[in-house]
Amino acid sequence: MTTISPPITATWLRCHDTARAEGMAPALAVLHAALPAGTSVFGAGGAAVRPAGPADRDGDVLVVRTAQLPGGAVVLVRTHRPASHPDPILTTGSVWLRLGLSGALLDTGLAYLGGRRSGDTTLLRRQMVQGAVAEALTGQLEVRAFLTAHDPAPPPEALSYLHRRLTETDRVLLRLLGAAGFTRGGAGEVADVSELLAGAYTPEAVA
Amino acid sequence: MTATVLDERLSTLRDAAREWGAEFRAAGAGLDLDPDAVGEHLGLAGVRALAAMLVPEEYGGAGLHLGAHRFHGMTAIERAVVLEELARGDAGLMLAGPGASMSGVLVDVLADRLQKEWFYGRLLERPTWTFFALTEPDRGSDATALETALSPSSEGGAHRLDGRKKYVGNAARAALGVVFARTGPGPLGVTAVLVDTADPGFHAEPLETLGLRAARICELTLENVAVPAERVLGRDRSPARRGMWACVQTFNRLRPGVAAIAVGIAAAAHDYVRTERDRLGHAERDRLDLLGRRIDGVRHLVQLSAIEVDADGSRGHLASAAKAEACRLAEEATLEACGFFGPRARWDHPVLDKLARDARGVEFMEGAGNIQKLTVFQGLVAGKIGRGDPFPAHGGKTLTGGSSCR
Repeated sequence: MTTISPPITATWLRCHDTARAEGMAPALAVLHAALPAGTSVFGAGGAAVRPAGPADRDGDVLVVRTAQLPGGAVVLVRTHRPASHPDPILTTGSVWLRLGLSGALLDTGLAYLGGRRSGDTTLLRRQMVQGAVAEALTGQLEVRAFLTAHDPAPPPEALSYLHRRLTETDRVLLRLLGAAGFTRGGAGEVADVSELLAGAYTPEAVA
Repeated sequence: MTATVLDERLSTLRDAAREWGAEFRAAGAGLDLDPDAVGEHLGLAGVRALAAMLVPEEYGGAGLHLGAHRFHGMTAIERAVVLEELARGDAGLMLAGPGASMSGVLVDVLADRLQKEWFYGRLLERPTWTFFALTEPDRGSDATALETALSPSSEGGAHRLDGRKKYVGNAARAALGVVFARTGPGPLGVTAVLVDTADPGFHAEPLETLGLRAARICELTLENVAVPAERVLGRDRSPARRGMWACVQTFNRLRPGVAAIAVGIAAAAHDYVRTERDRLGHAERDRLDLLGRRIDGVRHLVQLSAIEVDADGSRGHLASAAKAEACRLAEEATLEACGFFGPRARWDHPVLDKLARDARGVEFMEGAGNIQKLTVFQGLVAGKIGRGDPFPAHGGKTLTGGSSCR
């Protein structure tokens, strides 16, 4: 198992920023590149989310879903290989990655709400909408504060909480997107896969 | 050891404040019934600490000496650390103590040397309560809409102050404080003055409140109160640097402290379940752990927001997010704690009953949650928050301060 040391913080930030700017697949690539050679990308339950690619055809890997997301396709895969504790780079990195995706969801939401008419104004000018946006941003800030206080890595027992907080935050933003967040291939599906990513890498004992 | 953004110096302050806060618990319960008995608790270490805060060394403030460290409470992070721990003991007593308190932050931001000498000099004479009067019965705490008037005297002497203020803590026991008033229309017409409560025309009437009763929240009537020109704060500045500018700078610095009080109330509720509820089942332990994580997360956000506002007093959007979230946490945590003791928790556990009532009192303090959210939103669309590193001052390790927050 990898021991996390302070230089990894640069990887967390790169993973976060890539997720926000480019999408899930590029961010997963950043995260996986930080793993020591030969480290499994599967979580304790034998589940993984990874960029679509040739490895999808490995004999003992079952692709359960392919998602065509902004930034590239990702696959949700399972294996029957003996389960082990996921590498801490995956468990902590997945929180940073999801935080970046949540930021991207916020960006998408602002663009959508700013262009969506409601009566004689836009949704973004509605105070209830503004309050919900602020609530979501606050959730992201809280997670970032937790990660900052626990730099370079939060304790394993806190990961479940952080993922849950991110899921709550994403759901606030998704409600603002309405049906636009319910179609495949867009921001709504990114958030959906993000939830599944959390499930894959949250340590079993505290899930 | 729980992770923290605090350095060794601030951790020392937190540890001391935690001990002081423990003494507040028993005293706070009594004050809930008899708020006027606060004078009996002036010897408590936490009360003395509050009285020492926000009086700079250059004006005679002794500060707090803890090991090799000295604290004057001039920074938002120092105040956030102390206020959380004292509120964890009892938020009512914490708010009821003598000292510069909220007025001290405004004085630090806006007063000139002579005004500071007068204000701090009064505080150093004896335990002295202060008040901070912004909110008005019909206008809330919207400084741009206030109606209390500061008028020049027709004889060319002292100004005259007329109006009403509401929800002002400690006003009936205070010797001095600050009043926000209007000298003309618009944001440049907002100003603040130092007021001596012994002056004719000043009247403070305590309101019966549901919680935080020790703080003796009052309604003020100001009828032709004389305000000498030398008590007008920021008199040496342009209107643009004393009116709304000073309000914003002051509230930005106050907000992490209010948020910290809310975190303290939440932590007290969590503490109560841990100590008073034995034989927790697995699911209950998980629930309690989850609450603990949430409190930790919000605490980190509050403290980081204080560090940011200390680095730049105009960076208050983060503190708005922290304040709104912390106050919601306080309400949720106290209700969640009640859930561990059954439907009659508040009937059977006076501590929880008090915490549930006190939690409601911080929600509207220094701007209600919905208003704070609108501020956060405005910061987001203005690009002041939500992009890049949200905590640059902490990243730069410029956190601990110790001097004036200007």
